[in-house]
Amino acid sequence: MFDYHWSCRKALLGLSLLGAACTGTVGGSAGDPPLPGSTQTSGGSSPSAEAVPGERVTNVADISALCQATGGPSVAFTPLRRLNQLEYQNSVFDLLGVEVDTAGFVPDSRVGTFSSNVEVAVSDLQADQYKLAAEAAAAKATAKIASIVACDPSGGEACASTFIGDFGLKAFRRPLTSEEQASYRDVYRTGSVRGGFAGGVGLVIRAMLQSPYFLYQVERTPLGQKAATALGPHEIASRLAYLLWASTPDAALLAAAASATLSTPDQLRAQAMRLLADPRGKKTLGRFQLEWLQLDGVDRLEKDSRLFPSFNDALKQAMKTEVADFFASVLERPEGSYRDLLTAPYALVTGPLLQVYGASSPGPAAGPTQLDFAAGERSGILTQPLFLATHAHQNQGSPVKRGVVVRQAILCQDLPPPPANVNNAPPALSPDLTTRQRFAAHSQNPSCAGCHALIDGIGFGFERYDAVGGYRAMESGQAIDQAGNLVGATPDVEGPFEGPQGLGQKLAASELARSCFVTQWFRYAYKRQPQAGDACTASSMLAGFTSSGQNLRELVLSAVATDAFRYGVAEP
Amino acid sequence: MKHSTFLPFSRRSCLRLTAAALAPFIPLGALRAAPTNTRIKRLVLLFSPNGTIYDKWKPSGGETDFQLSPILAPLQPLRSKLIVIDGLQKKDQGGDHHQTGMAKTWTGSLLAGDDLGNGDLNQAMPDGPSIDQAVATDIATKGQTSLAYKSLELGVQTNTLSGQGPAWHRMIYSGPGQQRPPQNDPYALFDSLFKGPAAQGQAELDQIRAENKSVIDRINGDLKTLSNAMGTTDRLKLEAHLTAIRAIEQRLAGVGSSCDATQVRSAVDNKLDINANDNFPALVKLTSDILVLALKCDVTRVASIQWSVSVGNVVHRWAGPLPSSGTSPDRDSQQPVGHHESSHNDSNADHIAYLTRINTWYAEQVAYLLTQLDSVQEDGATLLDNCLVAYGNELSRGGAHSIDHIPFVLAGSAAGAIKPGRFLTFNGDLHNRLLVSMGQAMGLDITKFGSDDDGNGPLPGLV
Repeated sequence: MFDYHWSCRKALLGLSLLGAACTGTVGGSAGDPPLPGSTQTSGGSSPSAEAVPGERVTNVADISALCQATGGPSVAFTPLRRLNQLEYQNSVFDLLGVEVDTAGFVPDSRVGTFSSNVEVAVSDLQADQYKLAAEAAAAKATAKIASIVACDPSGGEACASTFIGDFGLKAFRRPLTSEEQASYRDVYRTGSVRGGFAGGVGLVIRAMLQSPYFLYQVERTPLGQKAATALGPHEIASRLAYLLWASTPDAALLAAAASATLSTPDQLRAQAMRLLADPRGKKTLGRFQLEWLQLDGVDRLEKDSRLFPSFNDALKQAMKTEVADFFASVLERPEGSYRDLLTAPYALVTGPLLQVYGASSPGPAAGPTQLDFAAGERSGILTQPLFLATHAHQNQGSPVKRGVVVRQAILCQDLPPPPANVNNAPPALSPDLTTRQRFAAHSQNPSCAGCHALIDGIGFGFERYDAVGGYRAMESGQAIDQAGNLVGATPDVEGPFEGPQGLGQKLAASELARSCFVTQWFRYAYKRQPQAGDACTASSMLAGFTSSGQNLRELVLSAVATDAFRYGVAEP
Repeated sequence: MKHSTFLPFSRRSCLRLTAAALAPFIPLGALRAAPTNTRIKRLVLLFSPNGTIYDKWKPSGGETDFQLSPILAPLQPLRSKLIVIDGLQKKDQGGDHHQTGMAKTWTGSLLAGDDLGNGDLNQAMPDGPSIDQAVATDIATKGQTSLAYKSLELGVQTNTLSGQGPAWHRMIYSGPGQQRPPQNDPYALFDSLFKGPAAQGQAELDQIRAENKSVIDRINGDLKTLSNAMGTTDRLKLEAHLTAIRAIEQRLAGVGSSCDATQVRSAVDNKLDINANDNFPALVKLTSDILVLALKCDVTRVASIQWSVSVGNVVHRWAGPLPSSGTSPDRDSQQPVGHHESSHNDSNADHIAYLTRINTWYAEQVAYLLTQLDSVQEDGATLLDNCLVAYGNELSRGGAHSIDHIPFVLAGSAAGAIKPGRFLTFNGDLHNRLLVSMGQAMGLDITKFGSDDDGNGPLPGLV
């Protein structure tokens, strides 16, 4: 397990020195420059594989080596986490059937590239936003009061009590205590003075949607106890729903929690399968890919309108839809794998995106159209237009940006920051030169080559795709050269390759990429970084993923059967 | 039952706003009845990114006979209320100065907690608060008055860039690693500050208050119960949340809400896409207008506005012609070149001109805010006089990522605590000394600020 890290670091060492030579100041003015791919966090020079329990490490391959079969469950501390904006919107919709706008919310904090909200406390302005959103949701919901209560509103307080119990269970993801029921009945009475039944119910909604039991994913672990303790069934139900739906649990999950049938790994897997098969499951997990590959800034993406006049909001939406549809389709097939994600020779395309693929509109199709491609023309997520357009300039593709995202997101290798004193503007468009020729300048310049060998060699493999992800065989009158070369990683992924398909095949066979993918999934699934206490969780996820042939559904499901999912531990 | 809000505004509803806002929010008394001979100090921090063109920024002349530079020329009408400061540097701890420079700007603190770097793993953040938060805490602790907001963190297009940790994009921290992200949405901001309940008559007002109190009591109760069951870190988060709820409670009780928001009404009514590049100028202006109103109405005494982010790549189409490089002659001559992209071409004449115009445009925005503040009279002085405004940048020269000669401009006098109308030059002193001086001007009893501080005290001659 340690070997490839050593070889990785050796390989990178040489390159990194070149890199340092190209900048003079890479990574810092004193001491050793940080190595690309380094994951240690203390600033020391010891390799990450030597991490000791208790130190913060961030890669599942590193920490899985620390797993010792002690017999007892082991888990790292999970900090209290607020719902992120997507979870907030989905939860309110599933609770009340109304949409709320979170545009004014203070931005979510992230773990890695994933929206998490473990870090940032509620500020005055965010508290205001919760208040305004709760008021808006209550107003919309009580305007259709009969649809949100299960009893006859003319029953007054008796019906309100029923609502408090039902809605409280769903909103707080646990039954209310009798004291809570009584205090929310007081809230109802206050609200009903002015607004009758609907006014009282509306005030209860306002209060519950601002309660920490709604806004946070609350898990109670005995304070001062070092041993891991099993989470309660309602806490498990909540974890399942937020992981797979980014929303609140449904009635079936809450019923399973109440009947104590949410404890064994098999029970959890069965529920997870059910959630995945639900439409909410199918539309949600594409979010993982959006955040993993840094695609979630698409709403702010701009292209040169003279070169790409059809790049508009409808096209951006279709690009996002493609990510969700494709990820769901791979997940849905029992044999769907990480390799399929990277290499599938088909795309699922809707609306205006068909044009980018050079396909004509199929007419008013209900769902996505499957487009099948000749060998090497398209390769799974690596050639999706959203990926290619995000990691590009406004007027041309960017071998640098595409190389960087593969290095960072898919191989989990950090790069030194770009040095100061360099011109990092993309080269001018030219009628006579291809993108590769235009970008070649800095990789031919010896002072830049060290750094850019790590980046551009990957990025040049994407030369057949323009700034919005359209395919091209020719550029500036010349045939496209899509030969790439990956260096500075591990032997199982290094070397020359041909286009995204060649790169995808290499990545799909690489232990480095595989462990990176599991690391990214860990961060998304648990909304925190893997730590030493998670060693056996990391080990089981990695081993299960590997032995299943990198099966995507197996990885997703494996996350719900681990110690990290089922247990909690008090803050150390 | 009325659930009406004041948006969108009609003339009539705006009148109602003023009336209703006055009616339910009867000031507690302390605020407006404070002795008028005590001038109220405010602190405002401003930020624009990616360094400047230093020789177009640096004024000429001496301390009092200085001439403003081309970039600072828009501030000429306010010259007597400025202190331009040259020659301060940030402590170099390695890493990318966009990142460290950003987070150090107002904290003067070492970035700790993780390796510095450019990857998504990097969560390094400063190990102490920013000066505004220290001042805000001091004001709250002294407790002479109840403010609706302890501080306001505002921004325009400050969304984080993918693949970079928070310190690249955040300048305000309430404590070690505790970022306070800015509110990017001026419409949400407006609702927070100025939207109040509509009520017909005292009985309904009383009832609205009872409803609000009922909700607040529940939230408080749940937060306290939960907080008691949590460990240290989680409890701190919930206590911060509790503080924010208490602030809402105070606002609902009438603190600082008797404010006439008419002057920003039409701009708030006409909602723009807050993420669209070309709306940047309008959003900058609206955010400034709302802040002036908030300060004028004493909603808060500490605020910041962050324009874009470190490495921000706003395309400044409004700042004259874009540089012509990066283009094909047969396609166009106006490729959209963003601010950061251009900053790495700052040896090219076209880019120097563009970057100079960008920084001049930012100086115009500073001048606009200062002029608005200066137009508000407060007991023989202006609101600007009672403010200490500090305008900074994460870098000095954008292309070189240098952090010596950071361009700082102060304005106002913190109610007479500092003497403006000066150009001060220093020789490589750490900018922590400026932060100490700013803190002292705002009433803090400090001689050091931030973990980078070398212990040299405040800047000589400033306070």
